[in-house]
Amino acid sequence: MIDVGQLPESADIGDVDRIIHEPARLLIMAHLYVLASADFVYLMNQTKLTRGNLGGHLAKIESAGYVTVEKVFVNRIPRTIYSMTEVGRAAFRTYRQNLKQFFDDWSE
Amino acid sequence: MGSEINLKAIEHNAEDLFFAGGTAEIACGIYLMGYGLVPLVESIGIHGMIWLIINLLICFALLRWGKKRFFTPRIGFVKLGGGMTRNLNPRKRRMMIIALTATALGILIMVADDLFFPAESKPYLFGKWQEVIFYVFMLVAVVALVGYTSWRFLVIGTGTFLAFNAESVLQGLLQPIPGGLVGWGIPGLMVTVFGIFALRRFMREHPVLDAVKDGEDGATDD
Repeated sequence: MIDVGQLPESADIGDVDRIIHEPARLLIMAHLYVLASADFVYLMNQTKLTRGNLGGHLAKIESAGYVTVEKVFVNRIPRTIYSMTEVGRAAFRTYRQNLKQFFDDWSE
Repeated sequence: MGSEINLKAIEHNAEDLFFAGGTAEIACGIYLMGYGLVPLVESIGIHGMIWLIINLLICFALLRWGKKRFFTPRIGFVKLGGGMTRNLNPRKRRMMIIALTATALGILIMVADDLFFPAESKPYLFGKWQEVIFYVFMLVAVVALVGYTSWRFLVIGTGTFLAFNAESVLQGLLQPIPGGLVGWGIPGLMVTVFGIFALRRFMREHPVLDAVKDGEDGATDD
């Protein structure tokens, strides 16, 4: 069991962004971070999440302002395209930095 | 859910998928075949450079259509860039600079040669080495682009160049005036056929997604 008393003050895990800190959302954010944009089908293919699950997580990320959604019709088929906002990119970098800091500061 | 969260792997996967499917190879092959038609179109009064630009536009249009027709319904729509271009690693940046410099130098040599030594007043600026130098620069450009994009292009790009260059270099060495561009048609055809096989395999391995068949993309409406 972890002795919380050993954790240095600078490594405050409470600073970690909980929107990103969920594995499925982290995976979605990671994909959108390295890509300019991707549609729902691509994300579903790559993350192996179900439609409903992916849709739910994307809605949460969108409501946090981390992604923008564009709905277009291509050959009368709807295409929902997601791209990461600057806020999302900054949040992703901060999340990474916070976690890194947390583990770096934590002497075993 | 895919358990691996590795930005580099995600980036490589997206690049590999983007270049998968054979459409890029088909477009490249058709461009090379178009290159081979230069003497023919010039014989009917169309300037070779204009034809090459039209050919390039045709190939870009074909590539776009191919991606839309075969790639998107199977893999989904993806646009490369984002974090990749923002955080372009030094190796990729170096490769891109080498490719652009080599291409610029190669074209400069060809243009300088045509401008200062038109066909009537041969010998060439660089003598019989002019075409050899040009193709060496082009080869450097292709290899650098391979380093920039995907190693799959190593087989296609350099293979095509070496196959053609063997003849071209020999022509450059043995003959003062080469008519080597005609030879682009054959490697172009080879690359196109390779692309068609790659496309067939891609279509077999990646059936059209059910959501797309149903006429929807699966995203829930808000």
